[in-house]
Amino acid sequence: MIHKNPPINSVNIINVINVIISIIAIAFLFIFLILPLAIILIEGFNSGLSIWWDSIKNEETLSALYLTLIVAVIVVPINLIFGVLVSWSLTKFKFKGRNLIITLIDLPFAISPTISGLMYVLLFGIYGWFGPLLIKYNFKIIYAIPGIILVTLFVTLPFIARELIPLMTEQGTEEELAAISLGANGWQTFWKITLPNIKLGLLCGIILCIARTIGEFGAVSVVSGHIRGATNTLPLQVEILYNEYNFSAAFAISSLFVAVAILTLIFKHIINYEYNRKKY
Amino acid sequence: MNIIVKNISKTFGTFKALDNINFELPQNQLIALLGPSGSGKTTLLRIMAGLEEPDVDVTIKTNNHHQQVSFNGINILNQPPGKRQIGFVFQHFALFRHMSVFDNIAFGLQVKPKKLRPSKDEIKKKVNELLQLIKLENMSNRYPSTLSGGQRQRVALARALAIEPQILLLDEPFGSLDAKVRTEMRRWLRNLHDALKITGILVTHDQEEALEVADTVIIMNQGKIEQIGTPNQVFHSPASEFVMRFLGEVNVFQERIMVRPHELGIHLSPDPDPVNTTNSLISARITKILTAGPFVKIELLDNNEQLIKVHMSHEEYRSSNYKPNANVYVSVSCNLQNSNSNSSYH
Repeated sequence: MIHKNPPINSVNIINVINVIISIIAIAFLFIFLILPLAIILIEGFNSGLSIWWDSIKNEETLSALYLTLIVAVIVVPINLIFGVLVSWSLTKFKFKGRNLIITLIDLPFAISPTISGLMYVLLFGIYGWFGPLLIKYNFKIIYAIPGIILVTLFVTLPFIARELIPLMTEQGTEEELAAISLGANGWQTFWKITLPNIKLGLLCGIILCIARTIGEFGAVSVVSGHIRGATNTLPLQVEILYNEYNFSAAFAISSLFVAVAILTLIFKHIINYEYNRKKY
Repeated sequence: MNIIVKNISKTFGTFKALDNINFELPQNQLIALLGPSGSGKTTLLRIMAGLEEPDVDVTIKTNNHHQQVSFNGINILNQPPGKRQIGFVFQHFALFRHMSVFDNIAFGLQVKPKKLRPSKDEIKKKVNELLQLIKLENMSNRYPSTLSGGQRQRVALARALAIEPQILLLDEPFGSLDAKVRTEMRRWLRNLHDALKITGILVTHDQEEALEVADTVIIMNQGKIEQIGTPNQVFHSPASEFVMRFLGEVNVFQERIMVRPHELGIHLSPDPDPVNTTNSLISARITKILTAGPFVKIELLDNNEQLIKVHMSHEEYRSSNYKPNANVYVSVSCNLQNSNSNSSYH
């Protein structure tokens, strides 16, 4: 009886398999990426706009938001300068130990953020290496804002350098040499040649760095001390509210993070699009 | 007023890229640095441009004229690249990818210190002149990525010329162009040089290119200069076996006599030319005849199974009756040997 069935077209089988795989992939993306994001937005606005607004303008929340922004304003420019300097010296010059340094830059990615925070407690805490010195000059790092800034710097250190190093390696040094042979000094070469060439990669790195700075939880949690209205950043505030069963407020603040995340992705998309369009 | 290069060496790790280079040449010539890859020609060019530092010989440090790269009698070896008045054209052009053609060409003028910088109008005028020279007037707003290889090459040249250099250094200027554009650019560069009367040094590994375009050819091998001379001199009186082999195909007889394929003749009978009785004939068998090309290439094997290559004109080939597998006799053609006694390197 089987012989009487029409032969199965192998092209059709491949098409069916393609469709099934695509559906699985998209369903996976939807369940694990888009659905949680949507739920946060839905929950955040569930109790109505006025409650959302009340949760945001709560004094402690505003203070946490303010602290988070301050940390970002300090950390991102420092990482920007460091990232450009490191990538520049690692890609435009050849020296021994270069590859080791490139590997070391990834260290913050390889270590759990909680451990990163602990490292700084061991260094700057009251019983840490520099503890006595800091007590003597009455300067607090751990359980204070400087500590939060330090650990955030550590955790976000690789972002800009990681974007720039492959880009600058690919671009090489020929254009810089051309500029120098045409009479440009080092400063002019950097501003007129190097920087414009890495502009888009740099923007990408900055955006990722901002997103991580604002969102960092583990390392900051260890060194912050959770002092309400003083050393709580926004992610810590979300945790506190959640632990107090204040779900609507926790989700309201979370909706801010989702907004930042979506903006980040949109910017990144635009930058990638620009990069591909200009092809340089 | 000469170009002088004196006692220049360069070592990379343990590799001796340049081994005590010395030469002195008159200005306003187009000079070709010719050699196989790894012969040190690009390194020499980059040292002249200041993009690479030569080795410092401590024993001669006291006398700073001992080591030189001089143009117009001024030793520029200790000057930074930007002050050497050199135009450098990079192998892959190194155009500034984020700048338009106009801004690329104007760059050298725009980075000048304020006191020396020409006004905006002057820069514009100068760039437009150069655009005219390279025949890309209507492309000033284009970006390098939208240009063809030949166009990029010309922009790179205009950019180097904008600073009015005393000398133009070109690193493999035609290396990344396809064959047809390459011959056009070769002719264009030669005409440009004749019009501008600027000293030019170009690096190439293509002997045909060097012989065709240059006034003087410097042939380099393993970090040393093998020969300096006009294209005619180096081709017809090669100073070494290396030069002889590098500039074209050669046949080697008795392990020491070198003869170019076009200097050999083929005879069907062992009846030697009466004028040329001293010449010994080699009996050989034709293995291959290639007629596609400007001349006919015939390959033969002698009694020791050694390959002999003979080139002859189509006329000569048609007037004879050479067939594959025919047994023939090979001789050095008499007129060539008499008129040009140096034609082979012994």
